[in-house]
Amino acid sequence: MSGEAKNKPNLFKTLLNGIIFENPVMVLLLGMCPTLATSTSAINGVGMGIATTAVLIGSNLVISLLRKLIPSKIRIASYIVVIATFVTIVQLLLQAYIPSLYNSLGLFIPLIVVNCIVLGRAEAFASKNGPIVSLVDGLGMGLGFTLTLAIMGTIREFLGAGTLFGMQVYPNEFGAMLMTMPCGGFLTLGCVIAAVQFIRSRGKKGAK
Amino acid sequence: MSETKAKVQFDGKYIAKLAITLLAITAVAALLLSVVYAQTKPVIDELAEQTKRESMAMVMAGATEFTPVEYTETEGVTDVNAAYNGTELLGYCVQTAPSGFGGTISMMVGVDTNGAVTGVSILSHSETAGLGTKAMTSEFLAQYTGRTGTITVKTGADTDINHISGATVSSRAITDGVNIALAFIAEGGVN
Repeated sequence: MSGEAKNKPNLFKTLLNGIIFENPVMVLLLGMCPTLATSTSAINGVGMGIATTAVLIGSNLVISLLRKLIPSKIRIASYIVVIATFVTIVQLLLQAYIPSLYNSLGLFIPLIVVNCIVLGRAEAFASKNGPIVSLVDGLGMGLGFTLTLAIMGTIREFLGAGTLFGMQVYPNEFGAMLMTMPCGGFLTLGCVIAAVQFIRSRGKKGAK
Repeated sequence: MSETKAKVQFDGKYIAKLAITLLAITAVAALLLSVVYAQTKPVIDELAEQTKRESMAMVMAGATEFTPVEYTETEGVTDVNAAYNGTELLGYCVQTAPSGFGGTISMMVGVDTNGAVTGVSILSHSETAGLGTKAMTSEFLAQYTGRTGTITVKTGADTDINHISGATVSSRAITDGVNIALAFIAEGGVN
């Protein structure tokens, strides 16, 4: 209980934590599979990020509210049920109201269920913290994920197809097709993580 | 470890508590999902119907009315609609499902009463963006218009479809889809 009270004034810090200091992809290295698969274009990346954020906020909130009711032996099963429920809701809503995004993300929407960011935050954060701070954690982590996907999607789309958010910047023929393929995803991810680690280590040195 | 094991084996109350908790959670989840499902289903069905209608209008120019028809179950054919302009039968819109590179491609093929292709349109697919999707441009699909019989998959020759390099599997799948529709109509699949 005292831990919760201590966490309360740190909502902003929790939010920033998810976006920057503990960015799920670039620092915690969670959720690699959807990151590589859906960052082929900026629009896809942002769409996937927002869908995951919605699931994260919902599941973190509910799991945090239920954390004292769920016996530890069945917690993983319970978390999966909660997460799967939110994913299915998001999937149905996308299919009904944003069909173009639903079509381009396809199989990766149901796969949010097994995205280790969602289960990871449920287990590591929501099951130990109050509902409000868990909700903020979900929002922060989700935004962090969205930001990473947007950066990667923009880089891959620009280098691979010569477009930015679907607008042609230079002719498609000059694009490096490699970048929109899976290997381009690995290359981009490696470079982005390296850049973030470089910035983080410089920041630490500065603080000393 | 053995202590935990004993507890699970003999404590009926504890087991019941686990079961009831899970039951409660899943029951609430099911209730919630059924509400959302009921809310979104009409919208989703409406959208699917609309997409289908648009693609049928695209592959069968001039048709004003489409009516579902009885047909012989054929592998690869998922739906058949007759296209009419007023009362005149123009042909059939055959929905086929060939296997592409990333899974099944759902496509609409218009075949006129003479057994020639009037148009091809892709409903849904999971081909690689930038590669497989090159075989879905209107220029590529226009190559099928007017074709009859069986289209072969050789490259280069005049009578064949020009396949896209880098999208061999996708181009071939689309040719398969057209062939399925042509064979289906030629064999009198429509009852």
